[in-house]
Amino acid sequence: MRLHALFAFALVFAVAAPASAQNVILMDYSGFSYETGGLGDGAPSDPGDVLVITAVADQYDELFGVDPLSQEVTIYIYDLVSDGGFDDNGIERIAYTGGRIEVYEDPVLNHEWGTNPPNGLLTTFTDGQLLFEGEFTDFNLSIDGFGIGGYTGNIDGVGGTAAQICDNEADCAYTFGGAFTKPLATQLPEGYDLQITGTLEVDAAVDTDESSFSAVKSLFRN
Amino acid sequence: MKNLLLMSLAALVISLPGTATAQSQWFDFNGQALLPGGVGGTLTMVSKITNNGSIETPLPLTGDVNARYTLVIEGLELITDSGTQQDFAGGTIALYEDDGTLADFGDAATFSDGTAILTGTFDQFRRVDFGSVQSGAGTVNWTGGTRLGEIAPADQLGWAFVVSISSSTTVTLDGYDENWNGKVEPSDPIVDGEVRTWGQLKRNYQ
Repeated sequence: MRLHALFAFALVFAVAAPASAQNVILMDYSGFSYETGGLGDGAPSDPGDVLVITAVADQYDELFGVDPLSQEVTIYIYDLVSDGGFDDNGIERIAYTGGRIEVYEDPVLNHEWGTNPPNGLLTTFTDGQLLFEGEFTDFNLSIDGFGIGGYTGNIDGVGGTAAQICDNEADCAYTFGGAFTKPLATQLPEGYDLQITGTLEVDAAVDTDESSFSAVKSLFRN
Repeated sequence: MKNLLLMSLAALVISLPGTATAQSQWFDFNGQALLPGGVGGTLTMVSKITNNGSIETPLPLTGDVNARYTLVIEGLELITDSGTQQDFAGGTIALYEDDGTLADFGDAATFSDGTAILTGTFDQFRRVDFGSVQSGAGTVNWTGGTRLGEIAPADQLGWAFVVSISSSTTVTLDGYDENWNGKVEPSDPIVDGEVRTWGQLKRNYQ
């Protein structure tokens, strides 16, 4: 009961508080990625190779409407087609076309990467309710010779139960993050190419303030 | 012979759960960093642990993890700077548990009060600027803290430190230079059985 009151207040608080300079709501995620034909650690990205990311969100704004105590939030990014990349003074820069992102909330905490993707465990990232769905308008990944990489991508929102939080469908969201190959990615499951730590930013249609969910929760502590 | 067989079976039983349940495991953090003014200067980063239960932590963390646990880097010295690549040396890292003052990015000191449950040093750290986004990676050795003993000695060294870095105003707070969102992870997931020595295991069956 107290939890319901907390969420109700959090929603009111978020709407009523003064708007920050930019109404952006955030989701942080971690996961792994693979590209058909391999990528990094000596393997180049070839034209037509397809990049896939599966990840789990470990922190997200309350405006997504997810109960953090009982829901798993998973992210599935797929159909990103490589242009083959080019060498930029030791940094491999790859542009991708196409690509979609789907974010799910799931009461079953069952995500599992397994090994040698694509595998049957992919469905553990796509079960549950579709929270947000988008199409990439661009996606760029860079990796240096030591295995340190980074990526950015812009997204048009197209659906999901949280799609109404977008201020408009075009350029609704943006994602960026770090991408790391072996040997830096020490827990990379067999068959995966990159370890991912990323952030999803959604331009919110409603006013937000800079209070984090923890800050809101802290208001209710004695 | 019978005892040896029993011990072998027991060792198998103890090791199997660790293997079967060995899932990804790391400390996830999200924080703010202050950059050095130039070569010879030092970097500081204060952050909150953000594991929400979806990803297991290498050590069990209890309660409201985001409110109780902080990760702090201090004294990471910039050694070389090519413009796009920066190499750092030295520096300490500490994981704190605190039920008192809530960590507040408005006061960096609130991140390093409490009990240091893990403390360590950086073997190396490199930061790369790709233009629109930055990333960093390094290696951490845990050397102290009240809970260091929960990690087998061989597993205390060589943890990967990887971080996504952004100076965007959407994620960087006033008073700081960059948002750091990353993780610290052991080479292999830490399982309870790993802290037992062979001698300890044998004593259970004597």
